[in-house]
Amino acid sequence: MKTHPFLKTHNKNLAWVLAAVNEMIEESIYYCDTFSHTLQAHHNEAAAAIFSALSPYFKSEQAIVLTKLPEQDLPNIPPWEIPHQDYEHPANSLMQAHYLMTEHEAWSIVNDIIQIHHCFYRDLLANTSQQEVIDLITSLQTHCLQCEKICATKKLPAKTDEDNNPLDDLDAPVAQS
Amino acid sequence: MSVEKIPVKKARPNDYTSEHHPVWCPGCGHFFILRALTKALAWLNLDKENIGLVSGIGCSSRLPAYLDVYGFHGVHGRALALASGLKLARPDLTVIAAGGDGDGYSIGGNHFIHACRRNMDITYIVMDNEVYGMTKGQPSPTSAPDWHSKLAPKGTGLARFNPMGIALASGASFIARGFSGDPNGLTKILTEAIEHKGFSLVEIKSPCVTFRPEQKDWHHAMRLMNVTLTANPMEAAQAIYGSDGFDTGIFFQADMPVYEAEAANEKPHSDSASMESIEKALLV
Repeated sequence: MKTHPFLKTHNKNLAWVLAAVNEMIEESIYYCDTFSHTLQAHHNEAAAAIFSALSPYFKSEQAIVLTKLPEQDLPNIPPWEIPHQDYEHPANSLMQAHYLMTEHEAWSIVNDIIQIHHCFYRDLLANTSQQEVIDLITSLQTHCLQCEKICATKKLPAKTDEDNNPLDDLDAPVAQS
Repeated sequence: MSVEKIPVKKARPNDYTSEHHPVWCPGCGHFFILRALTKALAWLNLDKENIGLVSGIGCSSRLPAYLDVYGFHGVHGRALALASGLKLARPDLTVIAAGGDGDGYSIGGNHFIHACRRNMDITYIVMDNEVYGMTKGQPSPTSAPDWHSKLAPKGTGLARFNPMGIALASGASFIARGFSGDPNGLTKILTEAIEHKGFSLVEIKSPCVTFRPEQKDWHHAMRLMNVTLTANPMEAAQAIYGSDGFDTGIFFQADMPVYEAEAANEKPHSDSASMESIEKALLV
């Protein structure tokens, strides 16, 4: 596999881990809040509520990181840096959003964002021997598992095509070739 | 604990966001461009009061409202004319123009060509979704000739406008293509574009999920940051015309003469933009 041009390959110490994880969670919070707002503006209150409900969970995940920050002088991470080869930006799953999205789709997207966090934590654990990094990541993973459980509990069954009534949307997009 | 307590010396992306939250359609690529721009500004640690963001009309041209910098939501297709005037009057500012493919390449097509030719120190961000989204889905200059829609049955039959090729031929000194679904790569391109001395065209593929839902597949089609940078226009032309539109990166960057206020043989007066002088000039 071709190595990503902006891949971070060395000096992944605690300060870098804190900065990188904080960046990732901050992105998730920003997009949850932003998409909650825009879904509300587009009168999809049900999907908006899901994004706004998850935002506090990401904020408490960030709080785990923030408690460590006063002890560390954080490096300035270039915003284009990729923390690991398989890294996906939390925003990527949001490209599947649309203004008529169902609650099921909203939960799926939120779950994808949690999986992106998980994937990063797994990579960090697999490539570190520093006990303080392991301790931090373990607590973040535990938090992620709780979020996953919430998603699994609340995720509704997918809508079938028969359930989709075109009259639900009076201003539906035109089917394109 | 709040984010403000993070002991970092540099600006944060959220410092540049305004109190107005974007209301583009959920899933629209423009969200990710807005965020990438704030991240680039934060990385460059630019003072908010020294940034001027000018736009035209369209979904993408709402950008100035969502950033906490000086902004001007202008007339359709005239973002570059406004940006050029701003840069001449205030050469000390970082001037960014933003808009869509319709605004920039159709209504503002002539301004685009001559802005490239002047090579002023302006960054031009074009959020290209190959459709007029705000007015409900008319074909734009970058739509494929056979793109069939209710408003253009069987397509327009017109060849696509090639903005990067035209920018190169017209004299732009920085030409890049980004993808809104690659926030990291896009931030890198925007950072380089803002830092570049001269006219920087950043053409960004940005899916319109409402009127071009098939553009969601761009996520799989794009080849991210695979372009080799060159300062040779011939090599750049080969790369631009040899690309199917899905390669991203900086295609061309060269050190070329920049049109500045001094070049107009008239340095801007310190009070040229003051309200007092404007009122005086308007008095008959």
